[in-house]
Amino acid sequence: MKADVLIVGGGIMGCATAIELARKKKSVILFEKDEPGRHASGHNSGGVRCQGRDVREIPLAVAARAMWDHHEQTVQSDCGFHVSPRLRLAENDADMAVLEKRQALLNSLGYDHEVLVDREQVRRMSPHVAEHVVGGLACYTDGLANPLLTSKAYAATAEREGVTILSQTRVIDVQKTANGFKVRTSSGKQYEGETLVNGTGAWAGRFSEMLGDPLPIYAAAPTMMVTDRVPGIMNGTSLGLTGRLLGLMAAENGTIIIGGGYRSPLDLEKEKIWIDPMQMSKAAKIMIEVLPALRSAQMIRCWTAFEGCLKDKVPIVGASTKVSGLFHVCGFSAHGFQLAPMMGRVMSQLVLGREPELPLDDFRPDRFEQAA
Amino acid sequence: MKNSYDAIIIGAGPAGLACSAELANKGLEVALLDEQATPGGQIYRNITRTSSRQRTVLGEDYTEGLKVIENFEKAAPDYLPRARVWQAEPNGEVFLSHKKSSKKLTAQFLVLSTGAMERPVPFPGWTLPGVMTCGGMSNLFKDSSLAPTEPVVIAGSGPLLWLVAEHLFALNAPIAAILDTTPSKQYITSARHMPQALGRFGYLMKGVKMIAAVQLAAKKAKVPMYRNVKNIEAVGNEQLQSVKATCGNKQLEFAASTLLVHEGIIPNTALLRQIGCEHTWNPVQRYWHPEVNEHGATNLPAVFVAGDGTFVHGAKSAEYKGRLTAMAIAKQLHRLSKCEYKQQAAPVREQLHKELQPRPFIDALYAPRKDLFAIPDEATVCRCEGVTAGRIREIVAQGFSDHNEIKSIIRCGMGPCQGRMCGSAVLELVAERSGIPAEETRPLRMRPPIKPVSLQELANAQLEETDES
Ligand SMILES: Cc1cc2nc3c(=O)[nH]c(=O)nc-3n(C[C@H](O)[C@H](O)[C@H](O)COP(=O)(O)OP(=O)(O)OC[C@H]3O[C@@H](n4cnc5c(N)ncnc54)[C@H](O)[C@@H]3O)c2cc1C
Repeated sequence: MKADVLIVGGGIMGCATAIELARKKKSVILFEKDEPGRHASGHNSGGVRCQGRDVREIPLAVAARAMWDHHEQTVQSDCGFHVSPRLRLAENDADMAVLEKRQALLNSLGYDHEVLVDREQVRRMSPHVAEHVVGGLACYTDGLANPLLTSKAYAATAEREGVTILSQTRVIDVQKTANGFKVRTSSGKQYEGETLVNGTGAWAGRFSEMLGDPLPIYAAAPTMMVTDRVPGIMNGTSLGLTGRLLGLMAAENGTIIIGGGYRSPLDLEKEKIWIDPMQMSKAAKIMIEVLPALRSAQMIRCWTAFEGCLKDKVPIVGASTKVSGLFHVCGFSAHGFQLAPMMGRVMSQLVLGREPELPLDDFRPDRFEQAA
Repeated sequence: MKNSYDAIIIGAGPAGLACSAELANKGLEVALLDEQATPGGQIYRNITRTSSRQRTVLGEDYTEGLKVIENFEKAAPDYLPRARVWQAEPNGEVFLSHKKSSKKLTAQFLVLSTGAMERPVPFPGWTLPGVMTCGGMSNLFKDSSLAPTEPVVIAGSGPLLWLVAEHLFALNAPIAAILDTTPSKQYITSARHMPQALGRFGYLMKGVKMIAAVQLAAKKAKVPMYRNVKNIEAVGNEQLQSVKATCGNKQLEFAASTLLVHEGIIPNTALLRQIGCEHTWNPVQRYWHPEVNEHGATNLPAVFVAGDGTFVHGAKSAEYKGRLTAMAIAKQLHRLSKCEYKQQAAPVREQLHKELQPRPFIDALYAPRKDLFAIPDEATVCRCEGVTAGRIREIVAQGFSDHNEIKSIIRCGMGPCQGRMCGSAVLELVAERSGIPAEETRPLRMRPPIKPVSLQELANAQLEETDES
């Protein structure tokens, strides 16, 4: 079987890219070793967040945020998206200085989505935060979505647009040929295509190695926990900290999703993650300091998923510098979900040989070599 | 208590008690952890404290437990009651909550003897106060001599139904009706297992006698008793007022303030699934059970399962399974030579085989009936999140068949019980709507903690640093 574009990985990046290419009249086959959304895309914490983004990502994140308001039209689902302002707290004056500097930097770049708030405003947004919190930086337009619903809506839209999605189909071998690529799958079949997109998430480094283009991506297992329902405590505001690791998301049903950088040990080969209670204990300690009212809330479940990470914490988005016709979209380092709609756009532009609507130079795959 | 053991056994029912005793007798360092305040598990619940009156009512199947306890107490392994294990890992780590504080223990081997639970079956009105399971009633009696004093209906299928009916008659409880939902045709379909079952003639006769005694008592007391009953419904506003059902083309309704239901027993696989044991599907009893060999060895080298958790076989079998598991562990730890192991395991294995002879018959006779999960659309299936059968059918019709995905989208199974209460029903609703057989769907994932832990307790937990890879 042949197609213009072969996409490997049925996460949100692969599907978003597939949708845009199909809408531009390209034939696309997409391979997913499990089911679309089985990994990071369907099991992240659903944070649609511009706040705190690396400045290199801000243009993409701001553009993506606008697209989150139109999912009903673009993928026929609201993806469970709703606004939940995100407030990054300063726990002391040093934190506050960091936030002030951050706002000044954003303003100088022409962005106004992160706004400094004082002690009183913090308490108006989040009445239960601890006494010691001195202020914060708010992003009123951030929100939350349902990750699995979103991933499934993307996959279903891709299929509606004519993309062939092959689930339970792992790409086990890939070769560069004179006029493109030839892939072999776990179902014993071969496929050919002119261009190839690597959207394999945590497996992206491994995948790319098959083509002699190793990427410095490593797998991590961000680990989250969720509480029972504690309505009224978060007041609909999601929280983050400045000097310590913690992210608290106020889910609509009154539960709280806790994360913000805790990781569990993993085995990518066997696809196993051992949820580490020690990490959850650390998060709980900080959480109680920040929101003492949550002391008696219950942790009812932890979860985790594989994510592809890079040491500079921004993704690789662009053409391979080693293999012509190969394009990478990976290494989102635990914050790719929000960017997905925009990734589909720029990836399709790259694949079609057009100038991407926003510059992607900061995300070049060879940036690490340049630095070395 | 120490922090580290040769083996940690989780669950102090007959399997866990026998297993820990056997291991301690062989000189191994063992700890037995259990959620309850006293040893005995569900079947021998509270046995160290029950009065002679309670014991008389509960009969010798219950007092049998005294021997198990005696052996256990003689062997005296470390025993921690009121310990709620909330996570266990294949490397032998166990995280537990005890007196509102959480800590970690480790062992070379883990034995999960967490037993079985009654099959949760949603039906209209099942969430009304006044509706409970036969097992729940039995626990109340074992714990605190409680029995219904107002009209009670007993409905469902399986040996426990008859046992509880027998106890309630003995206690002169006002039974309003007994509704047996076992389909008549299962008496025929199960008959082919009868010859094998006759190998334990005495056991079968005990069951037959029990049912006959209940029938006689019902007749004497003029308690209506119906067979082949369908469409159980609990009626009431804030509290159960009556129980409706059908029998053939007869509409039944009985005023009652308590409804005891029972639809069989299934392995309690929560901890097994959390730790990562592989499971297989049993098409007769329609449940997932762990893939184990005769000693309870699982796909995880350090993890064993013993007792009803491997498959529901009853108390006596659980004890034998517990002992066989102990012997396998003792062999691996070089406390038993190959030869000793063979000698000691053979007679226990033989007893176990004998004990298992009637099981295929019982499993077939009391198999969940075909329409057990024909739940009306408006009935609640997931109690934690209030999701109805209709909502589940809707999402299945949209193409979803994996309970894990269904959970992520409509929250069914998302609450504190993590699908323990709705899992069986969702499986059957998916099969009904999509035509995909239960065994071909992905089993529901269980994540730690399998029991909620407060954030304060978690924050204070004594967990030494683990290495992050
Ligand atoms: C716990 C957690 C919380 C997070 N929270 C947030 C958040 O709040 N906000 C946010 O913006 N981001 C968040 N993220 C990050 C976000 O989820 C990811 O950046 C994003 O989903 C990445 O999408 P993807 O398509 O690249 O990866 P994936 O969804 O992992 O998709 C890659 C797919 O490739 C498939 N695959 C791999 N190899 C092969 C092969 N050889 N053949 C066929 N298929 C293959 C895999 O099966 C997988 O489905 C979080 C991540 C995690 C893990």
